[in-house]
Amino acid sequence: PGLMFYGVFLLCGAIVVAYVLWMRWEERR
Amino acid sequence: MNPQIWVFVGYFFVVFAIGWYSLRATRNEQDYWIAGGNLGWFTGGATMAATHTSAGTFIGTIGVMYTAGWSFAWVLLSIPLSYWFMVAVLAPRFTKQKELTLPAFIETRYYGKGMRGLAGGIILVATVVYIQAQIVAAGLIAHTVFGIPTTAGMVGFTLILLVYTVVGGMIAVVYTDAFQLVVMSLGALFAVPLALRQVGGFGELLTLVESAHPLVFTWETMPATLLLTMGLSFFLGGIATPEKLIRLYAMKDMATIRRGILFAIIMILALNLLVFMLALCAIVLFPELPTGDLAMPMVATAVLPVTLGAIMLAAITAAMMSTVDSLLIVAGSALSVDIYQNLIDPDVTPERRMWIGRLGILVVGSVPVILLLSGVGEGELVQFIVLLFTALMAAAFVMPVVGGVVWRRATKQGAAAAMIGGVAATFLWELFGAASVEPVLSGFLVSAALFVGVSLVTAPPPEHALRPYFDT
Repeated sequence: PGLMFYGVFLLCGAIVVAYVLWMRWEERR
Repeated sequence: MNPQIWVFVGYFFVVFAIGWYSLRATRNEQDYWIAGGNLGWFTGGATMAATHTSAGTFIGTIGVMYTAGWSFAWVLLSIPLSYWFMVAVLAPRFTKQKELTLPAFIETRYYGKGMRGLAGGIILVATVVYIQAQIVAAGLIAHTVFGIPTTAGMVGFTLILLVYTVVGGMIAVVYTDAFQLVVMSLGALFAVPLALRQVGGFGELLTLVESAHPLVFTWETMPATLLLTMGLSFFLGGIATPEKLIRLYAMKDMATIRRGILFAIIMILALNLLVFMLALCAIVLFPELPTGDLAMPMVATAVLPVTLGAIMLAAITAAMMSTVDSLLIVAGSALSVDIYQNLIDPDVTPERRMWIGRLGILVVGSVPVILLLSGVGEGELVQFIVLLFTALMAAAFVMPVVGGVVWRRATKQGAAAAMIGGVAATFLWELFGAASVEPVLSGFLVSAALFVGVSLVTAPPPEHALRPYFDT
């Protein structure tokens, strides 16, 4: 259980962070 | 009185209290169907997350992972991407003109009452059958908790659901959803540490899982085509199911929608990841279960102490109820607003509309339990629609809804062909297609091809159909 296991957690976190950054960018336009 | 019954009595009391409060807050049709269109990010996001999380998450998801291993966890990533697409691409134009139902949007964009009736009919049939499947799960829960026969449990849960949904409409659904999301979170948060302690801790868990089920952390347990098309099904189903789209109308404005969906994404991911942990614990603790669907009931009854076990069962119940009440709103509005008021009796006075709406929910809520009690509910067609609910919704509505707000040339005939062709192709693939590819793929591709092809050979849409959604 290496990246196969932890990858899901990492990508979930990455998507949430990316969404927040997109939201801030969207509202500053 | 044992603690299980106390937990459930307290839980139902809160739900009914919210229902009673909502009756007083409901003043007009807009309140009844979309909670006044004025929800903030917390209630809007909570109702989205609670509706998304069904008994399927707590029983089905854990069951799939129990039998097929961790590769299924990767399908989860399609859910936040689907919500993001909905907020970024669909919502800004879709919500420019607030409607009460999804078929009402179809009528405005595709300039026809018949189109609205067609969309309402597809939603009505698919949703009523899907409610039926959740009611079967409710009967099993009632049997586990109260020891009553499953048929009595099905009738009992149907009555509880109908009381607060008929009385309080969408306002009752939204505020009970927020409460049920809290119950779900408590259940999952309490259960995971206790299950991990039984196993011997997190580090121990991964080692023990592998010795119990050596292929868990490999890609060999599920065909790649199945994983990818399951992800596609979650993605498309997340965009186009009517119970999610009307929540965009229920939230106040775009800034609220962006924040509400962020909250929903975080809650859905957290709940699913916690449930995944329980699935791994179940592989270690109960390696020999006949079906994966038993994994969660085993965790609730054999791992947790009795009060926490009751909270876990209440969490499963909350997941089921918060999904069914939203489906009741969708099916009830399809019957009473989109079919009855639209096609049969358009001159209803506003006062009578509310009562017709309540009657509609009463009808769509009673049909599933009557079908089940009369034995019709076990038929093969029913099992079929349940399995295909998300695929049918995706095949019927993704193209007309998303295509309708991004492509000005989309016509009424194109949308009708996409809805009918998508539903037909989904059924045909399930009957004759390969089992390693989810039927949503063929349904969506046929729907998209018909949508574009038929739109291009028919007359362009009139100006008044485009004005609400496009800046001209």
